[in-house]
Amino acid sequence: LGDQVKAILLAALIACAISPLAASERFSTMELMLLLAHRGPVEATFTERRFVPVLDRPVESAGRLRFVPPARLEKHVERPRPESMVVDGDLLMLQQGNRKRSVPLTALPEAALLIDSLRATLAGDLDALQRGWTLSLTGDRARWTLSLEPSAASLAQLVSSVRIEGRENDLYSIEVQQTDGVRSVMQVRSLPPRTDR
Amino acid sequence: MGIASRPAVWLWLAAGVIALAVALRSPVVADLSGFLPDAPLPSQKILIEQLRDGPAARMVLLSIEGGDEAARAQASRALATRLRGDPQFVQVANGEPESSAADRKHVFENRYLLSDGVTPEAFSAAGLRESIRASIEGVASGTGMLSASLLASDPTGETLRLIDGLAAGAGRPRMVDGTWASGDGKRAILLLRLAAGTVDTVGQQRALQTLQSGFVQVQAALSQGGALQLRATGPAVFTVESRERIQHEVTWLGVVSTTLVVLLMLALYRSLRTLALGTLPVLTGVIAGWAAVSASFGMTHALTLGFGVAMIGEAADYAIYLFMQADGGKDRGWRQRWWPTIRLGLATSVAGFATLVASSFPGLAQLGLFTITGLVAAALTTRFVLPQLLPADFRLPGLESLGRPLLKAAHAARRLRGAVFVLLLAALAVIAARHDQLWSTEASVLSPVPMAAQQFDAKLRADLGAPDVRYIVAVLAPDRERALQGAERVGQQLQRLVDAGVIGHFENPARLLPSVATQRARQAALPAPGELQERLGKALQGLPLQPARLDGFVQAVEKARTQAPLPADALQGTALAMAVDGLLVQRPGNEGWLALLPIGALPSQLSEGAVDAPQVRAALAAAGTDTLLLDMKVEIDTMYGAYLQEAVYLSLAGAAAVLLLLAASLRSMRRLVRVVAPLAAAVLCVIGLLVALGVQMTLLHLVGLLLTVAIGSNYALLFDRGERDTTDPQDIERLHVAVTFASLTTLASFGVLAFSSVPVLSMIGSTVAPGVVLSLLFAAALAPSGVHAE
Repeated sequence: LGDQVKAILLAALIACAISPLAASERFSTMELMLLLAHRGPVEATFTERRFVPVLDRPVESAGRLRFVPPARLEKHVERPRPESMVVDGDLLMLQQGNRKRSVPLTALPEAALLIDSLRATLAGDLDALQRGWTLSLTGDRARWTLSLEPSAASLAQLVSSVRIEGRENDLYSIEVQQTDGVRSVMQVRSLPPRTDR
Repeated sequence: MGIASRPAVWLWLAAGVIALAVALRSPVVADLSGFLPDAPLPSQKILIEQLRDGPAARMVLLSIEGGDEAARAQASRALATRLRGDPQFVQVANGEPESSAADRKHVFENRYLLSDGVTPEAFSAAGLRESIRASIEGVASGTGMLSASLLASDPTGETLRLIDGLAAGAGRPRMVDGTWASGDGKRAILLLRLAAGTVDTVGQQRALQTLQSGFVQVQAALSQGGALQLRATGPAVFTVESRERIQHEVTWLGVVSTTLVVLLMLALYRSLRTLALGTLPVLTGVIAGWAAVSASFGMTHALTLGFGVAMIGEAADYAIYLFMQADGGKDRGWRQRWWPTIRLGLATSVAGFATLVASSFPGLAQLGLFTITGLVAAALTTRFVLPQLLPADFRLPGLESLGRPLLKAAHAARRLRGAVFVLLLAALAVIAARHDQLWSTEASVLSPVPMAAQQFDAKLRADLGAPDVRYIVAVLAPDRERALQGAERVGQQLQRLVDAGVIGHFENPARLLPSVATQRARQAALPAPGELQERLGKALQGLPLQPARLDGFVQAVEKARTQAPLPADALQGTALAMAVDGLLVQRPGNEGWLALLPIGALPSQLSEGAVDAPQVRAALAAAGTDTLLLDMKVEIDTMYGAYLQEAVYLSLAGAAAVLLLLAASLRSMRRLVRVVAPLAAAVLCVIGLLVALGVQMTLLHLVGLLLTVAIGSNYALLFDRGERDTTDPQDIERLHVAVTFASLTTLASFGVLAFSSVPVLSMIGSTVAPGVVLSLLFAAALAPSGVHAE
């Protein structure tokens, strides 16, 4: 699997985790975690622009993100061509056209670390997240930025930095800078909670 | 009279020396392949080549246990680094990416010769546009199947296609600190391939020793090293271990069995001189048997010698019979009364085993020849040499104290006739109840590998996602190039089966090293630089990629288009080389080349490992090339089944020969029945006993039964003869002492065999030991009441 998987997973998971962020006067990362700990399923649409060095212009994709606590995360790309990536428990499932692949997370230690730290985040476990990342939260409630710098060597090989921007309780951008020069900017819009749940 | 004036003694000594020289001239072989038959069918021949030297036979799986996770991973890396520098190991894999860096470089650099995506259509303007657009979309959708860094040098995605193909079916073990670990994380796992094939057992043994000493050094260098243990498994380990086990077993069986027999004889003779004389026929028999096998087969299998050890007990009997009668210089009595009986017993043994010599299973033929020659030599020594060496005043210690109770016991045994019939009925009932599963048709029962070791091997394989190879498509061709061309055609058919979900995956040597014809076809499909740039200009219109960015691509295509096709040694230095070496082999004896395409079952078929063989065969027929589908398990079991059937016929023929010989010699229906009845009862009861204990009979049990008949017939004949010729109560006592001790020595040596951990030996031992005891008891119980009347 390519390095991008891990970066994308990261972006997707953070998006799921953060979008319905509640507004407050000043929050620390701890408060952020506490807010995230008590939520049900989350669903969002996304548009992603990816800046690849050899391409003249960024390439775009769009689709949906979904998180079902405690352990199911999904990214469904709808265009330019359908692809999906689902993590459930310890299994990563990829689908592209009619090609399907399932990989146990134990075979992908970096992705596993990433997913585990985000599951920890969703459970409000700041310590677990800090095992792989250095976090900093800046700005105020009206406009805040959460920056993540990898501290674990295996993550640092893939990702230089992650920036998440939000306004009030609405997250609107996740930016991931990969070490290979590829930068992706994902706009996320959370959907209202489903009434059937 | 001096020894010098006895020609028989001189002749015997000379023959013994010559036989010993012949015996020692050819090697003793301990690996099981020497015991296996040469196969008549082409598929079986290929199979045996595979078993002996194929890629599977060189695999070694390592497990590092103990300590903690980090220490195991550290040891795995340190050991792998050591072994990678050693030419005894052609592949050392432990999950570290460095191990495949050379592989990835090879794949990337030769992508336009290796990829089956290289066709004229794919390199037309439209084809290029399609594949480049797909690559850009892949980068955009970004589920990681295509890395953005490859876009400029490989815009058509050939590397990805190749790596996908190579990775298909390969298991993904759990990773700990960048190294493979078992599913439960309690072991670090490494996979090695040895340079030495199974034919080179010494080379394999040396490599395994290098492995062990390397691990000791790794342990010494690590702080927690002491807590770690290394375990190795795999066919190469089994070969070396079973060879060592067989050698070890044959040695200790010899020591224990000889000691027991010597102690028994000492108890009887109470004289070292008599003991020494008594062992002469035994030694002669073993040397003669060994020499005969050595001269006829060019080698002697250690198992044959191990079995020969058990012959000590049987050959010791002849001397006992002689001494009983020679007591006090009465050797005329021996010649007249005992020798004809022993001669008849010997003849029945020879008749029984002569049929085995005809077996096409080399191991059985060796056993048969060894037994016949050994028994004849022992009997001749007893008859012609031993009496001459006996001193004039030869005496045995008083036997009354032994003879009387034995006679009484024999007398008492006749009251147990009813019990014999009950036992017999019970045995028949058991046999009838299980008659359809009496015989084991699985060849694996003969494997000298202990069950626990087999289970450990299976566990490691499961952890590694490398199930045992069961199906192999073999492509036969006169030369290397045509073998690869055949493999390419077969590969296309098999790919269809993969796509249709009939099989899980397959390996193909042509995937890594295409035939020259295919490489030339791909070169022909690649456009020249000017043409390619023109087509790219059209193809990239409207796409976010400038043709100028793709100079690297144009250069790479031009290099591939004009280079010489990859030579046979193109993979040298990569781990891929071993895969091709193992899958593309020159057959021994100028029989051309063989391309092997191992097939893996779908995950849903893994529990049984069975694929839909008819569909695979149909696909192979469509490939229009000379192929065979080998189902390793079915082929081996079929082969074994054929030998089992042959052995059954041969044994029946042997039993019939014994019967005819007895009938011709005894000339009385009544006496024939009296001799045969206890034998038949003993054989049936032994079968009943084994079946009741849940044992499935094999070839070797059959041989054991034949041996039971051969030995047991002696007892019955002696009782029969005693009844007819002897009225002297002292003689009758001696008869009982002789037969009892003869059966005790046989019981001792075969009983020891029964405790062997080598199945081939324990099967014979566990059949003959109870068979001999029952033959004696039944012969006594069924003896006519007149004999023992005092």
